[in-house]
Amino acid sequence: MNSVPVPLPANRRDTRRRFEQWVKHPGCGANLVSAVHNVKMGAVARRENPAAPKEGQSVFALARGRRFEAGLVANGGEKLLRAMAVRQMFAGPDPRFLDFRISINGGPLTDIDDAIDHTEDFLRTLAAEGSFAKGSFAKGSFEGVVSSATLRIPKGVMLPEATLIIDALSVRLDGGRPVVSVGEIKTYADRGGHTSKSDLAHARAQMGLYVHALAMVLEQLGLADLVELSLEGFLVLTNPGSNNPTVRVGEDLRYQAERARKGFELMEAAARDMSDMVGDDEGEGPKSLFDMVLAAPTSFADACLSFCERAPSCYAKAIADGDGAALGDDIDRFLNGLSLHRADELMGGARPRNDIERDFLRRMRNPLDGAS
Amino acid sequence: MSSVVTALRSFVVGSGAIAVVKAPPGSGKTYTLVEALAAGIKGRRRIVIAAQTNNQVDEICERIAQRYPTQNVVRFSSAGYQPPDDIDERVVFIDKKAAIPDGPIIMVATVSKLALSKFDGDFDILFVDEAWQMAWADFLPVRHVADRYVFIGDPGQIPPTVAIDVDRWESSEHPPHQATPTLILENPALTGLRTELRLPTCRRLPYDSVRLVNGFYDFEFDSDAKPGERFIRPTKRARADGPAATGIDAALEAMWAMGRPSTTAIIQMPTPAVGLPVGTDVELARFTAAMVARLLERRCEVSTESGEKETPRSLRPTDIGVVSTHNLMNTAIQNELRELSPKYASIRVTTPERWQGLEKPVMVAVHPLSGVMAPSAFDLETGRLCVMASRHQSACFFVTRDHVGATLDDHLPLADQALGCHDAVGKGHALHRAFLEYHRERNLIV
Amino acid sequence: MTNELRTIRRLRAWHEGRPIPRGEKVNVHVGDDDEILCLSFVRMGGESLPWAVAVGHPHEEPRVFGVPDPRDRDMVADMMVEIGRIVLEHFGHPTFASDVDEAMSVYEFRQIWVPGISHLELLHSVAFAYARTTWQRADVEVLRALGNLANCLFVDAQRPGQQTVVVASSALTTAFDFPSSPVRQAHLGHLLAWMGREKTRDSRLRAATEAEKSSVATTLDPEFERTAVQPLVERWNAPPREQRAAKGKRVAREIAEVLGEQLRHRHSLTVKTIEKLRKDPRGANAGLSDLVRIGVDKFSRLWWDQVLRELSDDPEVRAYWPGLRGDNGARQAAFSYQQRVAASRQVMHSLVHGDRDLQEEELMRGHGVRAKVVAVEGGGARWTLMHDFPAVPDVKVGGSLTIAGAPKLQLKVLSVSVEERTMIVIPSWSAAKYSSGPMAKRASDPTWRGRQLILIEDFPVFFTESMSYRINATTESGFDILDYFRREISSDIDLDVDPDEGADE
Repeated sequence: MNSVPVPLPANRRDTRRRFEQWVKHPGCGANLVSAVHNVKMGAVARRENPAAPKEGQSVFALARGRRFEAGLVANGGEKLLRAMAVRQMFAGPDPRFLDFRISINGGPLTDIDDAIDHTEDFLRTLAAEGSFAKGSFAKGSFEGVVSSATLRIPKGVMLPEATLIIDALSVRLDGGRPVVSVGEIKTYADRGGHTSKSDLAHARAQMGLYVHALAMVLEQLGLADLVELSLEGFLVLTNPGSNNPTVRVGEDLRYQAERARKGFELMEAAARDMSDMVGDDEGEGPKSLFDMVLAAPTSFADACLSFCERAPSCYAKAIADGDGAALGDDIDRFLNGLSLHRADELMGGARPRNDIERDFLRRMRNPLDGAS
Repeated sequence: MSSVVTALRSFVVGSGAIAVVKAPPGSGKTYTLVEALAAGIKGRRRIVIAAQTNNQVDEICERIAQRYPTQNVVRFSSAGYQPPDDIDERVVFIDKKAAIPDGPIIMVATVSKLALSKFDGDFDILFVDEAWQMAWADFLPVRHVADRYVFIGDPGQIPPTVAIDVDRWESSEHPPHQATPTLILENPALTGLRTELRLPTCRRLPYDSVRLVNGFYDFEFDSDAKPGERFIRPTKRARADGPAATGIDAALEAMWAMGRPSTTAIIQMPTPAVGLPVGTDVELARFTAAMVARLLERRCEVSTESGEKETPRSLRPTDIGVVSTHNLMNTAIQNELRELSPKYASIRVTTPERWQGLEKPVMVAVHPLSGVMAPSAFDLETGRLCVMASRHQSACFFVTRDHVGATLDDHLPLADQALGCHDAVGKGHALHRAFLEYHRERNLIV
Repeated sequence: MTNELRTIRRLRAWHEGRPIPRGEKVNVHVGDDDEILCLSFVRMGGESLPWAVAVGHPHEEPRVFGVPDPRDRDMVADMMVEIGRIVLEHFGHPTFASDVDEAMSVYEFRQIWVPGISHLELLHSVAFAYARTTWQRADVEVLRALGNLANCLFVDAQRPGQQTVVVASSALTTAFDFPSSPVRQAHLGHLLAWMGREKTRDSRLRAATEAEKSSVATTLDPEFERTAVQPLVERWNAPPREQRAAKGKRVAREIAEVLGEQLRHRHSLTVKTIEKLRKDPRGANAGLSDLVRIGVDKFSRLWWDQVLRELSDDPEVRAYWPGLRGDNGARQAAFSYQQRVAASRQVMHSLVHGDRDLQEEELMRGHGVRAKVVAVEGGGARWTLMHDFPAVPDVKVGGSLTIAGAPKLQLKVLSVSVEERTMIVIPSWSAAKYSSGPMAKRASDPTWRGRQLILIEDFPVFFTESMSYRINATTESGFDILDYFRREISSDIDLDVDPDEGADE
């Protein structure tokens, strides 16, 4: 049934990762160049310093993620549908499952264009008369979930286009009208209020991107009035200590969708004058691309530690330059333009030369000493 | 009499379990509460009213005593409480539960006092005033006071203070730190048990300010004031001396540029190229104080009600209130005002928390995001902005560094709330942007 | 404001080139060796249960347990049974006492120390896995008991002021201000390197940066995991499952060695932290003994009492274990919340009087006022104070303030004049409350005049605690919110009454 797998072209890969990479530190020029041109920072870091530690996630964690997702969609999505039904995500008793994964991901579809065609065909069929070619259902009859619905974003800085794969897209009928919700599958555990806030923020940012992209695609297909796009998403997490899924519904995405829209705008504005070269599938590419990233100005911040492989070298540079951010973003602000070197001198008794330095010494006094 | 009062009176003598009254700022919350008591008095009910502070309790006692001249009001207070000297003589103070009279009664107390006493359905109905300031965990200790409850308050204001880590309850169906009425209104299990009422009209704010403030609420309300009825207007020409004077002059001009006066404006101060001052923005404090002085220097007149439209009155220092979110900023402004003139020492300068429930003809507010380059969840919480923008009867001036619009535009807020919770940070960000956009569209940012 | 204070201190630490003491005293309780059990975990990426565990008292070599592949839940459970017996014995669980004659009859203070936050979170995962398990296997009661204890430890770890569960990195940052960003301060190795014997700032910084390269979290460095451990795990898994134990002894040993080295590093950092704090010349805040005493009471109620209930012969008696994801019942959530609010107030109440730096922090937080006594009148019945910080104090008329350093001396606020910067207060004592020292004076003593005092908001711990017990003293189940509202309301009034006629006007 499947033809030879065709990898996603490099310039359409990893849209989500690259966008989120940029959002984590928009103020860093190198980060912008890296995200727009799909040059992974890990590769840049190793060019800069061959001894730099290798990037990456745990191999075991990646394998577990794949196993978990595969388990959810196995046997016609049995596990996933059951977990969703527990949360009453469907109005009817017989939700269906459609698998739009491509063959290299273990799915039935040939390649990414096939997945995009299927997704668009599916969305049209949800809204219009006629049956869905591959899944045979009629308008107003489908309830269920689609694995790996794939969208082509009609515009964006990652030209010529960007592609997004939605982990799970649910459809619920509300008075015969289809309501679609986006979902994200994560392997971390649902620990109630103790679930990692940064992990959740990341997942919601991704879902916000899906909502934004889906709205654009529905608009482009002329379906915006026919298919309702929910601003609430759902998360598929694991039950702690097991591989069983647990579904959380009602995830508020109203503002995250707007964040994605705004983020793309800002990224586009920041990248307006950049070339349209992109790195290859591995985030590697011609030397000129690396040179562009290496030549771009860097700006060290606390956030760098959490995502950028060049953080150690930028940190060392920040220390050498006396950049207050090396001691934390708050110190950077507190120094108000002074370098750590100069602050050191002032704390050591040097005479202040200007108002900023006098102000610094005033603020360094115990605030209680200044009270009168 | 409003339909809400009628409905509440029916509720008082009916058998419903919970009534929640959403009251926009200056919409007659206490009036409604006091009027609703009529049914209880006639029906010989035992009614208790809980408020958050002793001042609020004393004020409610006064209002009840004035409204129902033959009715005694029992004030249940702590033993050492010193009542105000001028409190109505029909307010009977007691401090022991055993002293609470049998039979029909209107009793008023703080939530804390009720929580410390042991009740078991001693009253027919419990009214909670300023109910959005009462966390669910603070309601449960007083729930046995009565069988039935009326919660009345302003849902747009500052939520209950949470000083501890609440991860453990964030995903709970009953977050103990959540405002009691919010929890009740959002809990589907209580749908059939609750009556939701909304006070429809804001009486305090000018017409256009109501449109602005309504954005902070999830329901529509009207303005009692007619368009153009409230305003601030300078009567004296004076040469502007310094940026604050220029700013106020430009704001007053912008407010009168559209034919019908606007009653809010934002006055910006440049953000220094070298960066914002760290800590208290003393320059902005000086600017704010100078703006207040300029309003008085130009002998502004204000209309605070329909009767003053044709005969506005002169603005006095005590007609002006100043609000900022930080105590140190307030201190700095106060010091600057004192420096300018001893007359200005009477101008109240304090935090939004302390302005809740109060009003002034003219407010000057330091925008809560001024000087904040990376807004946090606390910064983006809209309760404070809502309180700041809803204290005035005639006009409100926001003062801020000019980076706020760009800061908000560039800020991409993360949604790191607990599972299943609302994205309050995203909502705050959107409302803050809408607030600026409202003024930008009307050329009210100078 | 307190954040600004910490920013300033961090810059001072940078200038000095070393961590600087935070507080006049050490505000972390370090138990005796026998009271402390150090726990360190390593888990496989993506897994939530331990791969290997180090456990031991500070003065001894840790015992290290591990499995070749933690995705085998049977093997993990076998390991956790062994760990469980040790931890449960440490906490005095009656079933697991090695010496029945010396078994505790009441709960006695115990501590566990973990290197970092991720190790504490792993306890939560252990709780999820075992506290409610219905697994049919040998020693499942050990797993359940361990799961419940782990959950109680995780819950108690969030109670302000608790001293039962100590995260070593947090203990150090409570006691010192470090010259590095808060993000880096989560790494225990980084912190201890700053405290090492290097002579200069640069050399300490280099040591701290180097130390960061070794993970001390529960997960291994991904590259290390990929290169040093993955091949071994693959070798272990190569034979069919039933043959692995027999054929994989050698590779299992190799995995244990690799993981053991990782764990011993984490364990040694925890022990170093304990030693550093013990040797600190500042000494411990005297108020910590209060917190330990309160902690024993609270943890006893949370865990020990439930253990006894579970062991009771009476079938009517059952244990009430805290929820795993949180307190979902409306009543329990509100009760726990008020208990925590009370605890947060108790912390300050207990510690602030013994540490002048903490008093300053409280002032900066707006929880107090610094003032000079300008008049002592009415035979000490009334004092007039003039405050200099803050300019607009957040003090309630009718509220109460305590003189910092003298918890027995309270002042009730009669009036405040912001304009004059004065306040009138009523001392709560007349005869001297202390036998010696600068506070051993009658309220009427004229030498109070001219004294500058720090006055701390009097934390109503008792009131908040009362609120929590009032929530619990109830006949409703409190689990379902409807319990609070669905009572039958008797309606004996004439509904036709026109409410408008109700007013006596």
